[in-house]
Amino acid sequence: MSHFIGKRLVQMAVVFVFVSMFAFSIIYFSPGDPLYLYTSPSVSVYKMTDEQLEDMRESLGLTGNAAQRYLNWAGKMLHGDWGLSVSNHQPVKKQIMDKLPNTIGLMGAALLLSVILAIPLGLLAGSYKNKWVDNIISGISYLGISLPAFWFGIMLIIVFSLKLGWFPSSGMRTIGVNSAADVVRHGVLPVIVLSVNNTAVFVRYIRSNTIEQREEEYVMTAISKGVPKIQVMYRHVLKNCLLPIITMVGMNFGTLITGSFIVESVFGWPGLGTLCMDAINSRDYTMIMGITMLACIVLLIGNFLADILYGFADPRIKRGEERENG
Amino acid sequence: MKKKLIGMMLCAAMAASLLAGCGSSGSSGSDTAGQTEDSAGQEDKEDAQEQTKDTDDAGDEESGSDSLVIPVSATVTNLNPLLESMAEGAMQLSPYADELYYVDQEETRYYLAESCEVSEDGLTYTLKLKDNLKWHDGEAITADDVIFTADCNVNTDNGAGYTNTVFIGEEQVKYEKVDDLTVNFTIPQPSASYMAVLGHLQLIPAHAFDGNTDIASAEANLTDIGSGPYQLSEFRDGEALVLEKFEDYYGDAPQIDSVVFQVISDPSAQEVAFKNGEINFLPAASDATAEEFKSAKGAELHQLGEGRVKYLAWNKFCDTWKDKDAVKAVFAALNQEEIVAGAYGASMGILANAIFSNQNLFYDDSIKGYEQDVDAAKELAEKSGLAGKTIKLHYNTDRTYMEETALMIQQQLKEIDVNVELEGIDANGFFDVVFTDQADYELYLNEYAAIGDPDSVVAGMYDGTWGINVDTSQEILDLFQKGRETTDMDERGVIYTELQQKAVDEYLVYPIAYPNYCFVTSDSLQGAEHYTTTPVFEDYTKLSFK
Repeated sequence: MSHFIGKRLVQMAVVFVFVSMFAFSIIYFSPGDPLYLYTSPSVSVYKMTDEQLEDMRESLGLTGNAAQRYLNWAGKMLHGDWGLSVSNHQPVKKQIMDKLPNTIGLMGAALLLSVILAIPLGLLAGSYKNKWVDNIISGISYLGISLPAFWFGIMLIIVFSLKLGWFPSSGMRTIGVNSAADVVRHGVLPVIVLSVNNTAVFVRYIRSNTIEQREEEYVMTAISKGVPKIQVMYRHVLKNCLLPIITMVGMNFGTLITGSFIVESVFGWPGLGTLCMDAINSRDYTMIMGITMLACIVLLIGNFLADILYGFADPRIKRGEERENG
Repeated sequence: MKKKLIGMMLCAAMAASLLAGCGSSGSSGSDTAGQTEDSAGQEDKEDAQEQTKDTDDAGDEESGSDSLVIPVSATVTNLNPLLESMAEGAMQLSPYADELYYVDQEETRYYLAESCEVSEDGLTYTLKLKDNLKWHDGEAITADDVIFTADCNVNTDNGAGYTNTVFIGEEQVKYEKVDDLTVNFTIPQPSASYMAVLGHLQLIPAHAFDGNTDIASAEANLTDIGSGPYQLSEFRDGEALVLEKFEDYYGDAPQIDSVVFQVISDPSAQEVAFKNGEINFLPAASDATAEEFKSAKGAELHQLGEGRVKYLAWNKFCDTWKDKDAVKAVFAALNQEEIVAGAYGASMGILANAIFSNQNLFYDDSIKGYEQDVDAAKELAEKSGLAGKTIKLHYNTDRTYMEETALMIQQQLKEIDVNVELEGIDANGFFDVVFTDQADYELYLNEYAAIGDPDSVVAGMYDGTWGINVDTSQEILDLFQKGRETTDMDERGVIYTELQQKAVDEYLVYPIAYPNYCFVTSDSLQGAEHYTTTPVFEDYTKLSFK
């Protein structure tokens, strides 16, 4: 196991470096000047001299060619210095860390809700394949896959906030109120929007695996021995459906950081989404790199954890790896 | 078995916590817009015509509200007005940090400053502060703070936004303290716009920064360092900026208890929040929104000139325009009224006639702009060889109504047998492409701020300061220089009228529209009609709820 973990960590480090170089190159070679805020009359009232601009470039690490700037950035990153935002000259790390819990909370709740809803629905659909139950659940899941998050979010706001007055339309907190219940209340609608698509996808996977597993001999044996169907589903079939779910959850880990951009905008949720969109529009490359690399780390860790959990979910996988590693 | 039971209980707890807020009333929201979701929901349920009811009752619940809640796309990242360059950020810090004074077309309104006298040679500006000024922490505002603020702007590494108060071109302005309330600013060469420029300066306290001008990452930026009628109550970066009235304000006492800038970035969500009573100010993002609220009960639509000019320009590096008749052909082919009506609608913009905006100190509305003459345009297009050609038009996608305008121009130029290829570019890339010497496109659509004194941004647009791609003649440049050096306002008026006319005669650019800034407030908000300039509001003490 330790050999496996060591190997994966090295792989992750290599992937991380390649992603950082790729992301950096895209930003570096995209048109536009990171100091656009100071060179555009639309934003700045004073035209800085070339010397002044050069001084500012130096203080923000924007001098040198692509390789020099990358190495400069990477060196600082390794020491925990994520640089200063080009837009507001504030530390990137602090700004990201301030917003990160808000996004993780939202996405984490959405992911959890998706899994909780998808498991019973997928099992149900798979158990009653081509029956009306399956048709309804499948129909809803197709709808969930197709619904645009932006539109669905606005619809929920109109119905549940404007018409019914059950939930606030935006924000994470009510001004002047400092309670977890208030935050949860603000989070209900965005979490629903975020979970719809994932739930629909997970339902399809679980349904498909359930149908596959139901054909297996152990299931027929258990049923013929008189084991209640629901027990067969949850004690035996579900375990074997877990592998693809673990894969999907692991792959969705990266979305903990990046999956809520649109929904955060619709609901005014103060997370990384808005921070990243502003950074992209203003070519704030230090902020873009900070968020991109954070998303990369989270994705890599998610996949790593998924691989580890595989071993626990299916001992055959663990035994196979042990044989491979000697 | 035990594990299963625990697992099921955990799932149930999770589901319960997610639905924790279902059905509860919005009483905790009452200190924001004075509106609860309950009352909004009840009112809507009682009315059969839901669509009309939503609009008619928008803001109606705001009577007696003690908070002005304004939606913004993002909060400022810190509370230092020197470090805020975006218009929305400036709006948020406006009630929090006063300017020295404001020079308008009609008058000069003094805030922190008591006076600002200009010497006869136009080089020395004597700024005197009022003597009862206090920072929000209770300390007195003095000339030392003026000096410190100027020092911070000299340090351009800060990215401070008032560098034009301490530099004229590349030369630094000299400033010295005369007494505790007076500072002399001596500029290197006459600049008539400096009076207006200096007035915009917002001060920061020297004592909060320990006199250290390296302010970019200072911790003091997140403390209350304001001087305006509202002080900091709560700042949640990315969520809301809550300001409450400052009891020791030197001027008229604020009549509204608090001003809240709440992040709601999506315009549709803002509209819902306004109808829901969660906010009582709504920027009208489109003509449809403006029209909807024009006659809505309980709401009032306000329209202000935004002080910007939307224009079409020709690329001076492109060979297509070697024959000036080609430019004249394009300008004669355009139906400006149709463009403005089609792109801006009835509320969001008016016809432009000059390169100065209608909010500019020396705007002349008697200048005649370009009129459509399709027959003449066809003739000119044939003569110049433009007819039958395909030309490229770039537009800035980050600016409103650019795409709509571009599409209409494309349609109108078809009438004179000119095909137009459209290419939208985001702002950052747009400046990289358009404001260089690239010759592979013919036209571009853009806009600029032209509020206040023409010698500030407008001159810079046309005299090469910003590297903007326009073919300004020496005569126009001379007129800008003359206007800069003349201190007599009447004389300047004559100069700038001549300049605006010359720009039209020389087909410098085609000014298309002066955009409006439209916003909706609940009709209980008084005082909003006093203001004619953006960003709103210049003086929050004039606002109240009836």
